[in-house]
Amino acid sequence: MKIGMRPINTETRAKSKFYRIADVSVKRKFMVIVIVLLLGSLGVYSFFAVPTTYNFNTGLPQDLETVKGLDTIDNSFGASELYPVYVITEINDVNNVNTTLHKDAEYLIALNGVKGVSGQDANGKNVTNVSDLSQYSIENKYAYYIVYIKYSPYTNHAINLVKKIRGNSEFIVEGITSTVIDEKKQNNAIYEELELLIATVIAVIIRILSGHGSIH
Amino acid sequence: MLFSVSWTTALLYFISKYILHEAPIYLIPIILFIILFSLGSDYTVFIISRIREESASNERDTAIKNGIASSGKVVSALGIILAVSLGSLSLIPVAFLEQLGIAFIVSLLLFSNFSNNIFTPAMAYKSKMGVK
Repeated sequence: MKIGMRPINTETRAKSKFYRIADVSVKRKFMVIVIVLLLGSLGVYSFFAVPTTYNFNTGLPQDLETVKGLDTIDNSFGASELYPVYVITEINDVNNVNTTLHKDAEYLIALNGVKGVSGQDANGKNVTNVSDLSQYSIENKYAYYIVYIKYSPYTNHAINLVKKIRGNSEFIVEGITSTVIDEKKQNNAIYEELELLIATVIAVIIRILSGHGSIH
Repeated sequence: MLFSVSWTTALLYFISKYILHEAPIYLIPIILFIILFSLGSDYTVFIISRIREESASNERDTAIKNGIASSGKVVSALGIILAVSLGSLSLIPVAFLEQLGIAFIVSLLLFSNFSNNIFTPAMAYKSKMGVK
């Protein structure tokens, strides 16, 4: 007889492991449901609490040339050397441009976790005095700073620091860490909608198919 | 399904952290959710329809036990086949695919063996899903 075509008699069926497992499950239904729900709620909590990374380079084989290069630069100059934070500030008051930018430079340099800043009136950890807008201005409308931080761009420390910079409404903040913050915010909203949508659609389809819906 | 997805995410975190020494990539939980929810519904519908067939000529508990006895083996086998094929991604030395492969192995084995065979009978009995 061909595979799968053999008829299953009652005796064989009752001897099967699946039958016995189902028997125990039905007999102890309350216990099974309570245990699964308890374990499930723990799991659901961890589903939302598990820390994830946005770094797709994580886990790449160490012998790859790019990984070696990245590691060498990271170890010698810090992870922020390749992925610094870019801060753009609008020049609103042309008459007081130097004062404003000077204050911005002071603010960024003084932040905890900042290793150095390059930009108008900023040179590493020092605030300088430059009388005219230098190479860091964009058409005299914006000025930008390159902020080097002590942390890898994907870490919570970096995220918290960049969030603090973003908290200043005069700044537009760019760079990998800033992108990660935006992606997280965007994804959280989309994920919730997506999960709800999938669960609802499946529930509706199953309900219709099981004969309780309006379609027969 | 929710049980499998959520526990897989938790287990993946520990596997990634303590064995692979890397953090899980943010896309993994949502990919798992989408794929397992669809697959899980597929398998559950198959089991429930088998239970419904049995319920035409049997009492509720017998119908459930017969339904699981007939379909449990097939569903478990499908889960194992899928776990092996999708799990082969874990052999690729790129963290994203590696983690996805491991997550598929854990979740499909957990879902097709644990959820379907242990949880579904109890829930089908209590909720009268698919049975008289």
